[in-house]
Parts: sequence; C-alpha cells; structure tokens
Amino acid sequence: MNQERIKQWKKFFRRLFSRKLVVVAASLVLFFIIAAVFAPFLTPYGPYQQDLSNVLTKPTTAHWLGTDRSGRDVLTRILYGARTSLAIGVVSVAIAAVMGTLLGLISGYYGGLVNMVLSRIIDMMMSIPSLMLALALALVFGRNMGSLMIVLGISTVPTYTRLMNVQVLSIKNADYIMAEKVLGAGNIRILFTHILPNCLSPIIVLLTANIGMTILAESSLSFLGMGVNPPTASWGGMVSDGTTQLLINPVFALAPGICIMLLVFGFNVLGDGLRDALDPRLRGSI
Amino acid sequence: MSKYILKRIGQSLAVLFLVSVFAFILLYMVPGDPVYAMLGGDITREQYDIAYREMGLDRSVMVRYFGWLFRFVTGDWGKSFKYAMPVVEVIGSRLPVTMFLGLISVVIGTGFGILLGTVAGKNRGKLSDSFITVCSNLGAVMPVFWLAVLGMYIFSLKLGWLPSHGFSFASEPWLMVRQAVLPVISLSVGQICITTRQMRSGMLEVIRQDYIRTARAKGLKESQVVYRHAIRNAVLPVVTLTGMSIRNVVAGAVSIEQVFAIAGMGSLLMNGILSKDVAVVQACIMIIAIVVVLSTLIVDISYGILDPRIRIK
Amino acid sequence: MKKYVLSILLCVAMVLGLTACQRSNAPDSQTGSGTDSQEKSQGNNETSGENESSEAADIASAGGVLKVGIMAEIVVLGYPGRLVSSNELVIVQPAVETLCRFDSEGKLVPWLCESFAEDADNLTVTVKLKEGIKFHDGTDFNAEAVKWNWEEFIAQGRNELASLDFIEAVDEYTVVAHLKNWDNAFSENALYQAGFMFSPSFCKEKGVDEAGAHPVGTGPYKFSNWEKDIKVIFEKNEDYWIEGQPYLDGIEIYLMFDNNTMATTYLTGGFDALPILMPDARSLLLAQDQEGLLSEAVLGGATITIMAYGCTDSNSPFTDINLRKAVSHAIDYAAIANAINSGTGYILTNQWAMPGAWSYNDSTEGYPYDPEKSREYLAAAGKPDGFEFTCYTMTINNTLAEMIQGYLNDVGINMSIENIDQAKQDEIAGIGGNWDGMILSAGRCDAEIASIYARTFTSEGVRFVGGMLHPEDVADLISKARNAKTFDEKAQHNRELADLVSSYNMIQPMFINVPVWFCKDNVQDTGFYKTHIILWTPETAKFR
Repeated sequence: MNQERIKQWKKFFRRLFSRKLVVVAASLVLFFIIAAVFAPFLTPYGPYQQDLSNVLTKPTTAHWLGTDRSGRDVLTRILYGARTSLAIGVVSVAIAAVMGTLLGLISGYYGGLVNMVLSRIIDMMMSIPSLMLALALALVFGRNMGSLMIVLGISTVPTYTRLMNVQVLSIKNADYIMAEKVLGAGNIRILFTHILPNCLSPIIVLLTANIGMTILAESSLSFLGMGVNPPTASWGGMVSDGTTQLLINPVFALAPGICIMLLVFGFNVLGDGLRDALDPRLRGSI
Repeated sequence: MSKYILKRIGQSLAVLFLVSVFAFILLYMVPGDPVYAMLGGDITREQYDIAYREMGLDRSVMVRYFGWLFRFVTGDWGKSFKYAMPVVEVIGSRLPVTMFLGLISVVIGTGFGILLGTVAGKNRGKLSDSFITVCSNLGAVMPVFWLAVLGMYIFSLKLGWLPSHGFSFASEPWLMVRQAVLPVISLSVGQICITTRQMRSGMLEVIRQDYIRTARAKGLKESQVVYRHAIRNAVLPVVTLTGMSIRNVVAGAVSIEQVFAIAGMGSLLMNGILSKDVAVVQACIMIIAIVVVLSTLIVDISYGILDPRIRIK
Repeated sequence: MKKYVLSILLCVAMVLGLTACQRSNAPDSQTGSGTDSQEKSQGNNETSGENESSEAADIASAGGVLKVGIMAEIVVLGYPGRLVSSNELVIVQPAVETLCRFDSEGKLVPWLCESFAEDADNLTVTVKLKEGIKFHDGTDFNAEAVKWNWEEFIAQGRNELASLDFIEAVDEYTVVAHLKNWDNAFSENALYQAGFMFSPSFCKEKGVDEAGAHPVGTGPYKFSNWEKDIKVIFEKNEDYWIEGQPYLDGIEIYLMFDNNTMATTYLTGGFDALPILMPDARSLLLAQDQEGLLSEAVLGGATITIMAYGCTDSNSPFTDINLRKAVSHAIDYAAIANAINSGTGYILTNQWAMPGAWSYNDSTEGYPYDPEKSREYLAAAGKPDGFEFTCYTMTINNTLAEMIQGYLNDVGINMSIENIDQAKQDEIAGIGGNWDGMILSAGRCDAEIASIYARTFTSEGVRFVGGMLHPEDVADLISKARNAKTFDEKAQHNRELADLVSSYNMIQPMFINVPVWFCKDNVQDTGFYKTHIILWTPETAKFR
C-alpha cells in the first residue's frame, strides 16, 4: 500500500515538474517563502528602523536597494513585505477555501432549498465587485491585518462555493456513492470521506491561483491607502509610495512591483502546472 | 427556452433583493450612530430628531427596510452629505463615464484576447505562442495601478502624446478620445490577458477533438477549420469570463480613476466608503449590482442560445 | 490569421502615429472657455517639446483660461462662515472678494471698502464701502449686505466676531460695528476673515446647502460649475467693478489627489500654476529642474503642522499632561522637517507662533527632542514601559505620521495610524466633536495669535475645540491681548499667551510650512504669496 502511494506521489511530481516553467515558478515561490521566513536573518536592518538623514538614497553598498522616504532600507522592507503578502495571501485564501468548500459541499449535496438560497447569496456576493466588497467590509471590520485577511477571504468565498457546488453535483449520483448509501453510510461520512477527496484537485488549483489574486488585491488596497496600517511593510504600499519617485529613483517603486509580479506569476504558473498534473485521469488516486 | 429565461429572471430578482438587504443593513453595520452616518456629525439636536423620525429609526426594522426600498425604487436615493446634493444627481454624472470607459475596455479586452488566444492556441509551441503566453502571464500579474502610472509617465510625460488626466464628456471630441486612451488601455490589459489565457487553453482542448480531425480530413481549408469549428467552440467559456469581468469594470477600477483623476463610480464608491457617506454607498452598491446582474443575465441568456446543452440542465 | 494580426498592428501604429502628429500641428480649435485649451495657454514647455503657438501667446496678452492645480479636498465653497479650511478660502477668491486685503507689512488695506476707522474709546469700527459694486446676481453690494454677511458668519457658529455687540448700517455705504469691549483683532477678523462678501439675496433664496456649493460674490470671475472632486470653473465677469479687468476668459481650479498626476500634468503643460501642493509633488518637480518659488509673504496665513492631543475624551491617554509631554519630547522635529520637506520650505518653531514675529516668545522652552525627558514623563505618568494611542490623520500625512511613529517606538510608545478624510476631520475637530488620541493636522499661524488661540482654546472655539481644555487663565489672557489699546501692550500679552499655551502642551507645534510653489513663466500677476499666504489677486492675473 505504502509503495503504491509513494509511486503515485513520484509520478505526480514528475508530471508536475515536467515543464521547466513550472520548476521556475515553484522555485520563485519557494524563494519568497524562505525570504519571508528568514527575513530577520537576511538583513542587518529592522523594517521600521528609520534614519532621517538618509532618505530616498539610491542603491549603495550599505543599502543595496537604497532607502525609502523615512530612511528605511528598501531591501529589508521588501523581505518583510514578503511576509505581509504571503501571510495575507495564504490566510485569506485558506479562510475562503475552507468556508467556500464547506458551503459548496453542503449546497451541492443536499440540493433543493438550501442550494437555491446559498446560490442566490453567492450570486449576490458576486454582483458586488470584490474590491468594493472588501472596502465595504473594511468599513465594518476595521483596517488591521487580521481584518484584512477576513475581509479578503470573505470576498473570495463565492469562487470556491461555486466550484465545489459544480463538482459535487457531478459526483453525487455516481455509482460508488450510491453503493455507500446502500451500505448505510451516513451523509457526513459520505461527504467527508468520499466526495470531498475526489473534488479536491480543482480546489487546489484554484487555491494557488487565488493566492496570486489576493496578493494583487491587497496591493491595490494598499495603493488606495486602504491596506495594512503603516508602518507595516507591504509591497503594495511601497509601490504606492514609490510612484512619486519613479523618475528620480526608480528602484524604490520598481523593486516591490517586480516582486509582486514574480510572486503572483509563480503562484499562477504553479496552479497551471498543478492542473496539468492533476488531470482527470489521476483524480481519485491522490 | 422561455422557461429558461423566466427562471433566470426570477433568480436575478432574488439576487437584487438580497443585495438591497445587504446595502440596507450596511448602514447599521457601520460603527456609530446611523443618523450621524447619514447626515454627518455637524447637525443640531433638532435636525437629529427630525432625521431620526424621517429615517424611521423609531419603527421596526421591517418597516424601515421597505420604506427605504420603496424610496429607492421610486428614485429617491437620499442626499449625499458630503456633496450636499441628491445622490441621484451625483451618480447620474458619474455612471455614464464609468460605463463608457468600461464597455470600451471590455470590448477591446475580449476582442484582443480572443485574437491573441487563438493565435497562441493554433501555433502551440512556436515562437508566437511562447511570446503571447509569457506576455499574457506577465500582464495578468501586473498591478493595474502600476501599469497606469507607467503609462502616464511614458505616454504623457516622456512622449507627450496623450493628456495625463481628466477624462470627461465635456471635453471636445478629439481630446476626449485621447483622454480615454490611457485609462482604457490600463483597464483592458488585465482583461486581455485573462481572455487570452482562457482562449488559448480552450483552443488547445478543442483542437485535439475528433471533429477537428474530421473537418481536416474532409479537406477543409485550415482557416475554415479554425473559424467554423475551433473558435466557435472555444469561445464559450470566454463569454462567461466576460460576463464576470463586467462587474469589475463597473466598479470603475478605482485605482485608475484615482491616477487619472476621472470622476467615475469607482472613486465615488470608495470616497463614499471613506467618508461614511452611507446614502451614496447604498445607492452605488445597488446600481452596480443592477448593472452586473443585468449584464450577467444577458450573457447567460446568450450563452443559452449559443449552447443548447445549458438550457436542458 | 497572421494577416489579421498584422493588419491590426498596422492600425494601431497608424493611430499612434496620428496622435503624435496631431500634437505638433496647430492647436485645436477653441470652442470657448471652460474647455481644455492645453495648446493655447502654454508658452514654454520644458519636456514635451510643444513647438506650437508661442507666437499666438505673444499676440494675446488678454484671454485664455488659467489652469490652477491644487492638492486639496474641499467640502464647502459658499455661504458666510461655512468656509473653514484655507484651501476653500483660496479657491473661492475668483468669485468672492474681501473687504480688506494686506500690504507687504501685514497691515490691512481697503479692498471692497473705501476706508475703515477704529475708535477704541467708543468701541466702534466704522467701515466706508466702495460704491457702485454689484454682486454677480445683480444685487447691490452695500451696508445691508455687509451687515447680513457678518450676522450670518456669527450665526454659523464662528466666534471670531465674538466681541461684536450690534451692527448699524448708518447709510447705504457706511457700516458701523459696535463692540461690547475693545478687541484689537476685530478689524482683521471682520474685514478679512469674515470679510468674504457673499450675495445675501442669493444665499437667502437658495439656502445654506445650495449656496454652499455655489459662491456668488463681487469677484472678477463668476462661478460657473463645481465638478465635485474634479475642478471648479470660473468664467469672466464682464461687469466687474474695476475697468479693464479681469484679463482672462476664465479660471479653472483642479482638485488633485495624486502627486504624480499633478506633477506630470504641470510638466506637460496641463497646469499653469501649482499654488498648493504636497512635498512629494514638490520634490518631483524640483528634481525635474523646475524652479520652485518661495513665498514672499511669511507673516500672514501660514500653516503650521501640529499634533493636537485629545485632552478631554475619557478614552484618551492625553488627559494626563505627562503623557502629552512624553510624546512631545520623543520626536526629533528638525530631522523630520528636513526629511519631509526635502530641505526647503519650512521654519522650525517650539511654540504656536511665528519666529521673528512680534508675538513670538524667545524665552519659551517648548518641548525639544529629548528622549530622556520623554522617558521621565512616561515614568511620572506611571507608564515607564510606554503606552499606545491612535493618531488620526488624512492620508496625505501618512509619511509624516510614520516618521513620528518611528521616534515614538524608540521610547516604547506605540502609535497606530488611522486615516480619516477631510469631512471626518472637520467633524471630530469641529464644534461638538472630540477624539480619543491625537490628530495630526495643520493649523493657522498668523502674527496675531490671540484670535487663533481663541478659535481653539476657548469654549466658544470652532477648531479642535472639543478636545482642548479651556483654562481660565488662557481665556483671560486672550481677552487682555485683544482688549489692549496700544500695540506694545498687545504684543506683550500675545507673547505671554504663547508661553502660557505652550505650558499646557495641548497642541504641539512641529514646523511652519513656507510654501514653495510653481508657476509657468508666461503667467503674471496672480498675486499668490505676494502679501498673504491665502489671499491672491485673480483680477490682475494674465498670460504674458
């Protein structure tokens, strides 16, 4: 049994990394994760350490990417900014995935009135643009990192619910499910031990793509001044600060912007790769 | 077919009802006194009492909700305390701007997206495919506001080709067109990239299908194969994507409105949220929702016309 | 398929080529004022190489539309007493004029009035008005109009005219203000601050809200339209009371939010003048070799960046003066001012008064940067490990707030930043408002500080008043200062006032902003920053 599993994992990874682009993407993501986790060790400066005699300098040996408006080292803030982006991206997507998947499971499986009501609620959430929804919710929840995660998470729930819904609908009348029912298995058991695992792969793909989207959303919010509170380092906030300096000291604005792009690109391509690797032919074997 | 349409209309109405409930309770979810949220803090005791009774705060929630809904449906959207004018007028001046710019960018985005995606899908593995794929992946991850600012710097400051801000219907026609270029391009890029990727993967899937092989075997010209069969089938998911993107367009891509100083719905909603101008926020949410639901409805119905399988479900 | 791609690319190239051509050809045909006449109004343009119409500009010394860019958010534009922020006062001037203006020494000179006379013994100020001036709605500017304006100013809750007893319209063009007690600041308040003259008949007819968005005055330009959050448009007043003026067809004042856009638009010729802008835009333009003009007027109407502690709210830590002082001592004002303003355009001060002016107290110590002292005060307050509070400020001040945050961190004080907009700030800092932390904002700094302090530290105040204590001794000293009959007495009381207020440390001054602004070479006589920080002369503005 174990041998089987190991062989399947190996096969999965071989498929996943068969395209060079996916390898590149995965390394990018890994790179940023490492940078985020080990940030304090990778730089001698603190992210809030300001030095007002040294503002907006160009890259030097002391400050590889120069300093920002308050004399803080840009490279340091980028490393810590990775934390903010990854934390918000991962946590809010996790919130969205868990809530959305559960709702989708329930509405898909039980159908009927529950499904109708939930679908309409999901439709309603999708009629309000996600950024607006996030802003409106921020009005209620406030603007610290925790609330932002919740807010961005809630505004992404609809995608998972819909996806899960469709998945469940297509499986729930399959033969093996019927067999379990005949054997007397309870609904909960069926839901969690049979249906859920078989629907997971599209969710996983969506997860990775969503992380990218959420990071972009957070950077847009920061650009508008509605993101994490200062002085927390956030790539979007740094881009917003840096846009006025674009002609004078482009590094300040370009560096975080490029980081956003690379990280999101990494997650997106990883998601594509996962989708290729988790072909329907493999579904059910993980 | 008509049963399908009726069903969808019914669903749309239900959704709008839910949106109205959400918009309504937003006022009470905001921390602070709802009267102050509506009128601002700068009012006298008498004004407070009058507003309290007018808003029906002394009556039950249900009565209040239906009162608000009735007023909304009959065109009384309240007064914006920030702008000291009826919300209808405020929205009336901004909605056309957003719709105009938004629709153009959706059209451009979808059009170019289909084009590029088809090219990429057909020429899989060749240089053109790789180039388009890389570009569309990069474009999809580029923050929109960054693109906007870069565009402004290059085309307005450096090259001097385009004005740097201020789209409005009051400008003379040629200027208006030039003022629209940068905002529209910034708005479309994301759409182009998403559509290209979707179209490309759709084309890849479709090209492998049997009926394409049959068409080729029949001796049809390559372009005919592509047109008559491949594109038609690959384009369907793009239609749904477009429907979904309309809602983002209607919100006016707030950051673009901010960078280019355009008075559209996006910045109105955001400023309303920031200054807690609740009447404006409620009306904006309702209007945006109505536009989105309407366009989704149209998209779904046309989807149903294009793809008979959907109707039968 | 390839053919299609090629052809589309060709189309795009054609369009771009056309666009480029269009710019270098003759300017677009003008369709009247109020439309975007970029080409016509520009003479030189450094960066984009427009080569057209320098000839056209030479020929036309009259006409054209002046485009002014202002970094501001305005809430109200009309009705006496409603305009609070200096931005609003600046923007309204093409349409609304004041009874008096200032000369280069900061003294009042008549403008809409013919002359004015103070009589300290009889407690009157007599104002003789110029005759034959009409408001834009055709009604006469006369004594009744002045009387109505002053009365409405008071009715809107302003207290600058608190010493007014009653107003007498002696004849059609003479107004006498009878005072309850002598107030040597009354003339300036009545003739400048409350001296913006709005048309009573228009205001009465339209009501506060509508008139508040539609200023009708006697000015050289008539208000045309206010596209909310975008721009305010004024058109030439053909019936202006000065012959031959104004020179321009119109003035458009753009309300900008984004530093980039503002600077870029100026550089590409979309704006002719930038009188009010943020340090970011300023450093951008300076880096592009644009010449920054320093204000010639430093005495009147300057803005001072301040931290306003909430001293009365029960949730605010700043009810304890030790904590106020702890925060004040923890900040290195010189370093921050230098960093934020890129080295120019500011004056350091340790009190809410203008260094060099007659009201500045040289012996006041204030609260200079001293982290040791800060820690002492923290201990005295029973919080040796620091405490936390919220700083309320508008987003434009975020960089400044972050710098302050950095310094406070060093002594263990945890400041969180909450962004508010102009309307919200007006609400909590206005009559009946309060706040439970600190507001980082700007105040006014004239030479005559007693009136300014009266607006904040007395119970009849209008600005930051809710969060301030209203100590008796301050109120007393303010009255004394305003009742003084000789200049020396006045100056001395003002200085004592500066010191006394500083001892309470309810408002901690950071630095005074000396405006650095930008103006194209072909724009003349706008009057910005000539004699006063807020007042300019729209009637003389013209293109060279």
